Amino acid sequence: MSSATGSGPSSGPDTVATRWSRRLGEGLLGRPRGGRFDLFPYLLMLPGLLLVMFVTLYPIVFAVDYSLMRTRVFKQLAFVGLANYARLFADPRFQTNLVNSLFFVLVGVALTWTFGLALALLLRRQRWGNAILKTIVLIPWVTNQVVLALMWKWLLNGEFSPINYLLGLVNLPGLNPLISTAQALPALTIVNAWRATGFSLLLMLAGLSAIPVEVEEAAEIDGASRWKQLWYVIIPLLKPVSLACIITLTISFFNIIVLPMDLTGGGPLNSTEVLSLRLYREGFQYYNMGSASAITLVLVGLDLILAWAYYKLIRAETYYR
Amino acid sequence: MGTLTRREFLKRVGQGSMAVGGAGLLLSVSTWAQGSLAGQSIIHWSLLNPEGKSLREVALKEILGKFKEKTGITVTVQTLPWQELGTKLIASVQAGNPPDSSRVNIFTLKMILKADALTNLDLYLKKTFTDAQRKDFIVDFTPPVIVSGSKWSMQIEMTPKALFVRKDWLARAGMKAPKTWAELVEVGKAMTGGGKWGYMFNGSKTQLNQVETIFQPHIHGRGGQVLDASDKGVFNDEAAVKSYQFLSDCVHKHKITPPQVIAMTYDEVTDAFKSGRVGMIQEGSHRYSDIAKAIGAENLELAKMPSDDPKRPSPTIITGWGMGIPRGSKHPDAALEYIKYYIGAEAQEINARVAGSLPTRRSTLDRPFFQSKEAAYMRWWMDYAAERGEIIINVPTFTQLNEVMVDALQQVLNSPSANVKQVLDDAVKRYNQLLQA
Repeated sequence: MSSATGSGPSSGPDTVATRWSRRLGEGLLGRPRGGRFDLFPYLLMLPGLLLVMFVTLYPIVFAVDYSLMRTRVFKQLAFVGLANYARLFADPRFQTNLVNSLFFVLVGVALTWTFGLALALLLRRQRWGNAILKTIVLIPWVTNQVVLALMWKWLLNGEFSPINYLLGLVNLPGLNPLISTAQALPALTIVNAWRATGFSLLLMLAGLSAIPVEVEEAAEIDGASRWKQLWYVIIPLLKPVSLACIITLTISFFNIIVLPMDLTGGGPLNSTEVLSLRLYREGFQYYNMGSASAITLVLVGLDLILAWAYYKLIRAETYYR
Repeated sequence: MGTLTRREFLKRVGQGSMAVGGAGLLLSVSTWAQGSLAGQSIIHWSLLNPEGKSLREVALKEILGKFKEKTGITVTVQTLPWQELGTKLIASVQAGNPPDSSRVNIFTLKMILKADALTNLDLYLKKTFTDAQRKDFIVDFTPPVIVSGSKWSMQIEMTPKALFVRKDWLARAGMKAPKTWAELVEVGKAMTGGGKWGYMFNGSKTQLNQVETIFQPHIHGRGGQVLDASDKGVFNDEAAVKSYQFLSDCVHKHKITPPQVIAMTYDEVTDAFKSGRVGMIQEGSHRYSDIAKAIGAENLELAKMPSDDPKRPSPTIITGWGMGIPRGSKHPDAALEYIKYYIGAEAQEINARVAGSLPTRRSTLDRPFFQSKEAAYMRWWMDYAAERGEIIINVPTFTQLNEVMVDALQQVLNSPSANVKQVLDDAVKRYNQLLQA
C-alpha cells in the first residue's frame, strides 16, 4: 500500500516531510529505525506543545511565584516563604471554604453522575421524543450560569417564589433555602448538579451505546434481575466513561464561580463560599495576589488528588476497555 | 470622607457662580480639537449599553451622537457589569490592554489607584480649567476625591440617596412620609401585608459594594462613625449598635422587612420596589427616572433619610460615576475630549433631561430645563445634598469594609438573639486586622 501510494520515505515523492527527514538524518521519518530515536514527530508536535506548556505551565509558575510573596496588587513586595499558606490554613474562613468545596464537589459529582445515568437508562431505549427530551436535559448545561442563577434565585426566593405559591395552594410550607446557613449549600449543590446533568447524560448515553447487547442478553438469560444487570454488568462496563465524566465534573465544579456568586454570593455567613469564589474575591475584589495564588495551588492540588483517587478506584476493577 | 455642610455648599455656589460669570463655561472657552482628533476612535468602558432601553442608556446614546457630531471622534462603548468595572479595569491595565477611557465609581477610585491604573489628570485639568472654574464643580475638587493631591477622574453625574416611598400606599394608609426611624416603622407596619412589605434593604454579598451605603446614613445620622480619621474601623460604637439593632428589629420584631433580605442584592431590592412588593427603600437619584416610569411618577415620593431627630435628617450619601483615562490608554487626548464633553453643560443637561441624573456642576443648574417643573425633584435633591450631603466612604479597602459589615449584618439577621455589640466588636477587629495585613 505504501509503495502504491508512494508514501514511503525512500521510494515516495519528495514531500516536505521527506525533505525534513533527510535534513535530520536518514531513516528518521515516522518510526524508529535500527534503534535510532525518531525526532521528526516531536518536531511536528513542538509548536502545539510549546503553546500548551505556555498556557498551562506559565500560570502555575506565576501562581507559585506569587504565592511566596507579599504583594500589593500585582507588585511583589517581599519574599515571605510559606507565610501565605500558613495564614490561609490558620484562617477559619478558609477551613469553611474547604469543607464547603468538598461537599459541593463530592456530593455534586455523585448527584450529577447518578442523575445522568438514571436519565440515560430511561432514554436509551426511548423512541418517541428522544431528541427533544435529550435537548431539554441539555439546555441547563449550555445556558449561561448568570441566567440560571437568576432563575433559581427567583424560584427559591421565600417571598416571591412561584413554587411557594403552588405549595401554598396545597397547604404545604414554602421553601426558603437561600437564607438558611444549613440549607443554602445543599440547595446550591443540587442546582449545580441539575445544571450539569445534561453533560453526564451525554457521556452515559455514549457509554451505554458501546456496551454490546449480547452482554446484557446473556445476563438476562442467566436470570439476572434488572437491578443486578445494572449493578454487576452496566455500571462496571461504564467505568471508563464514568472516570472521564467524574474527573471532568470534579475539575469543573471545583473551579465554578459564576453560579455561587450570583445565586448566593457565598452567603449567608459564608455558608456557600466555596474555594473558587474565595479565590475570585482574593484575586479580583481584594487584589491580594499572594493569597489568591496560594488558594489556586491548593485547588490544583485538590483537583490532582481527587483525579488520582478516582483513577485508582475505577481502574482497579475495570473489566472492559 | 467629606461632609458638605450647608455653609460650605452655599459658599461654593457663590464662588462657582462668580467663576462662571467671569470665565464662562468650559465648552465655550475650550478649543475643540476637531482638526487633530477628528476621525479617531476610542474605546470606552461603561455599565451602560447605548443600544439598551433604560433611560440612562437612551441618554448615553444621545450624548455619543452629539459628541461625534461636535468632535468627529467615535466612541465605541464596551459594556461591563457595574460591580466589575473597577476590578476589570485594573486587570486590563495590568494586561496592557486597557480601554481609552472608563467609568470609575467614587468608592472604587482609591482601590484602582492603589493598582496605579489611572492617568493623572492634573496637567490636562490645569490647561483646561482656571482655579475659579474649578469651583463650579460640586464634588470634584473636594478632599475625598482628590487622591495624593491629584485628580484622577472627573465626576459625570452626582448620585445622592434618598428614601423612596410609595405615595399611593401612604395615601391609602392616611400617613405621611416618615421623618424618623420610629415613624418609618409605623408607616412600614401600615404598608405590610398581603405579600407587600414596608421596608427593604440589601443584605446579600453579591453586589457587595452597595452594602456600606445602607449603614452610612444610619450610623452617621445617629452621630457615630464608620471609620475614624485614620480610616480605621469604629463601627462598633453606640450609634452603630443602634443601627444594626434597628435593621434586625425591622425583620424580627416589627416584621416590616422580609427575612429574605439576607439573600437580596441591591438590584433585587430596586426591582421589588418597581414591582410593587415593597413600600420604602433607600435608592439613588440615578434610578429615579426608571422607577418613576415603572410605578408612575405620581406614585413616587422622595423623602430625606429618616433619623432619630425629626428636625435633622440623616445624611444623603453622595456617590456616582466619574470618568478616567486608564494608564496605557492609546488615545488619551481623544479620551480627554470625551470627558470634557461629558462634564460640559450640554451632556449634563441631556443626562438630566433624559435619565434624571443630577449634574455635577453648579452652572448647569442655570439652564432653563432645571427651572422646569419636570426638574423640581432634582432641585429638591440638590438642596438636600447641600444641607446634609456626605460623600461615600472611599478607601482602598472599601470592598473588604463592605464584606465585614455585611457579614455582621447577616449574623444579626440570622440570629435575632445575637449580641449586636459583640458582633460589631468582632467585625471591627477583623476589619482593622485586614488593614494591618
